[in-house]
Amino acid sequence: MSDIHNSRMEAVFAPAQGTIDHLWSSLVRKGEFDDTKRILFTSCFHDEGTTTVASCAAIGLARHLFKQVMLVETNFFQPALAEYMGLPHEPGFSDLIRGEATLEEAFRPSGVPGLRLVPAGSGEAKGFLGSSRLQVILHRLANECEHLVIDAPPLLTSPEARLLLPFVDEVILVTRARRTTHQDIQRAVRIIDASGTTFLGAVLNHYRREAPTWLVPEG
Amino acid sequence: MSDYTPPPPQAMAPDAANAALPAPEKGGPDIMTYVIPVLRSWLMISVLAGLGAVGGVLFSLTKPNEYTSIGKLQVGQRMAVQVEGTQEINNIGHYMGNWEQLFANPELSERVAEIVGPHEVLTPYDPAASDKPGTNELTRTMHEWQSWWFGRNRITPSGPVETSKGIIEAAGRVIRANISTVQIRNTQVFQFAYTSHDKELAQRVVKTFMEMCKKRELEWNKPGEEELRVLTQERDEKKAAADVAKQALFDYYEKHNIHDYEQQVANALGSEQELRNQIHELEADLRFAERQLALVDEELKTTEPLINIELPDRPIENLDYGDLRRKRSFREQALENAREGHTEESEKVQRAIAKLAETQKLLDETPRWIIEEGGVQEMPNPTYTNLRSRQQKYQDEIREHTARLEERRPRLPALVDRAEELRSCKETVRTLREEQEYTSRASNVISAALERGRIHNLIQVAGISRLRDVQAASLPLQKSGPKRLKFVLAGLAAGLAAGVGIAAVRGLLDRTIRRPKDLEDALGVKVLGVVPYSSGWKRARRNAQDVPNDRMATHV
Repeated sequence: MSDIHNSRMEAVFAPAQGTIDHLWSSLVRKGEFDDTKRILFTSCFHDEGTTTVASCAAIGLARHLFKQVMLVETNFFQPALAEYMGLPHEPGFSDLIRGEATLEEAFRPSGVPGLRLVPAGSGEAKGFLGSSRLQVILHRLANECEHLVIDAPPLLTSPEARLLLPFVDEVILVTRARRTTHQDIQRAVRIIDASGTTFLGAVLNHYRREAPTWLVPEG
Repeated sequence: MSDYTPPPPQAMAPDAANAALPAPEKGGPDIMTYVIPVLRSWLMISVLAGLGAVGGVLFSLTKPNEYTSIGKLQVGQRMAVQVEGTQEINNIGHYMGNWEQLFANPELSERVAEIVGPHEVLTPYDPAASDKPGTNELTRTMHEWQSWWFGRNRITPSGPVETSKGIIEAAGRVIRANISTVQIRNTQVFQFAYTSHDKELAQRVVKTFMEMCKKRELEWNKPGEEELRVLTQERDEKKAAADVAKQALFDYYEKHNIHDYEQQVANALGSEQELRNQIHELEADLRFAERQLALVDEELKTTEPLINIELPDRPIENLDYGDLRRKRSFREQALENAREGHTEESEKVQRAIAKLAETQKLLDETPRWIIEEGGVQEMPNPTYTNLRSRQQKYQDEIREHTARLEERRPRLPALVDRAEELRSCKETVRTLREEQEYTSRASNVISAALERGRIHNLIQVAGISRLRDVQAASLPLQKSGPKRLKFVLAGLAAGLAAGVGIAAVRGLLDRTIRRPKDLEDALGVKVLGVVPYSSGWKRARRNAQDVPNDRMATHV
């Protein structure tokens, strides 16, 4: 496997190779290649695959657009990125917010050209999410890259995720097949719409075809 | 890289999150809403079907082996009865009417139970009873358990066993529940089948049942002497009433002279109508003739009886010309005569020639035809003559029509009166006829019933039943039930139906997102991407550990 993939990150997310190859194109609109873009990935509940989808999008953007992309994990409650990558958890985004680390210390290499990672870090940063420091940190991170991909906590179970919505350009909702309900999605979309941020769309994770194609073409 | 300016955080109203989204399109669930959950739940459906089949097997085991005895009876179409010098009676017909009512009579089955033995009928299946001393312990235990199972609803008699009415009634109910009576299609043959765990008992029940049917058929609807007397009295009363009604009808006919009422009504109405038609046609002809006569009279006033005719000029043969023709003939004859006795140069001949030439000259100068002038001649006017003849014709027609009308008009009131009289009789005639028909019919019905009663009495005396054995009650050699396959199939079908139903309901109530289309329906936007399910995530992370970290560092 290591011979096939150029980086550990690509090797980790190899099962979602199709998503890596295609999702990035949905995130870039015509004429917006030069603007810094802040895209937030969130979900309704935990374990719906936000980190996976956000990582796939970040890899795709870096690999296909040849731009500087930064993947920031803000889900302090269930951090997964560092564990996936086999990297140290600290320092990370929570340490940045608390002022216990510098940007250079928080950055992690990904192995993918142009893509850097910021894991969630140690401990929670609930008290700091509402402060103006969050704005400053996001501002500095955005200045360090061309595409800022934020892996956010779930909207319905973590009110802290709503605090991030006003500071991003677009929001993508990650849903897990056979777990997320219509009502949950509509509640999440209401929250996103209420924040005034553009809701770009949704990604269906863990999708498994339940009927043959000849019977149900769309699955 | 652009200079990022963080936007001011937007305060979110508490209720903003609950603001209404555009409602998802509401349409009824499509068929796939049910089909997909069913396909998805194939394992549960299979398990339920299997459980149903097993349940069917277990349920069939709770049924003892059954044996069915069959017997057949035929309803006689014709029978001959001759008792004590009475005449032979044939073709009695189906006066019994409802055979099923006879066969389903509770009293009949209770009598059968009484004869066969109510306790024997009620004895439950007891496999342990057939165990022999050599039967192994396992089989014996199984039979004991089965005996308990089949005997758990045993009826315990109360009071003297042989006379217990309750036991007989219970046995009768068992017989009624287990015996089936079927009329074989398009025949007068009834088949009786009794099913029991005891083959000999089944045969005895069917045999007794058929015998009881024959006996009961003889007793069925048996009219007594009192009923016959009442029937006779009713028949006589109805006959008398029918005679009275008939006489009343006859008197009424006589009074109004309407023995052939319908014919007379038809004739009267026909004659009246015919006369009306004739009068109508004559009046029309008369009016036409009068109008024509008036027109002719008017035209005659302006028409002259005589007219002057200018005759044309005409050629008339000239009489002088004829005289000259005759004179020339004489001259020619004279010339011939002169030549007969004289020479051509003689004076007589020369004179005759000269005269002929003179005559010829005169003839040439005289015209053969002369023109006579026509002039004017007075003669009768043909138009006037024609008008006068038409005038005469119409006058004749008017006289004739008037005479015929005067002859017919007085006849009409009489015909109208007769028709009116016949019309007024209609209701009375109808009432009288109905009365007569009703009483006659009632009399006939009662007479028929009386006849049937008498015939039945004759049959009773002779002791002949119309039911004949076609097939005696059989001793079943093979078991007829339980149909284990039927129970298995029923259990299988029930399990399948339950599984499909549960899956469909579960699918209908399931509100989770399962496919991209569900997501599009919920959000109304396009799905950006789909991450397929993969079981290789753990293996991928394990393999990723083989990628060196230094390579990662080089890419930063």
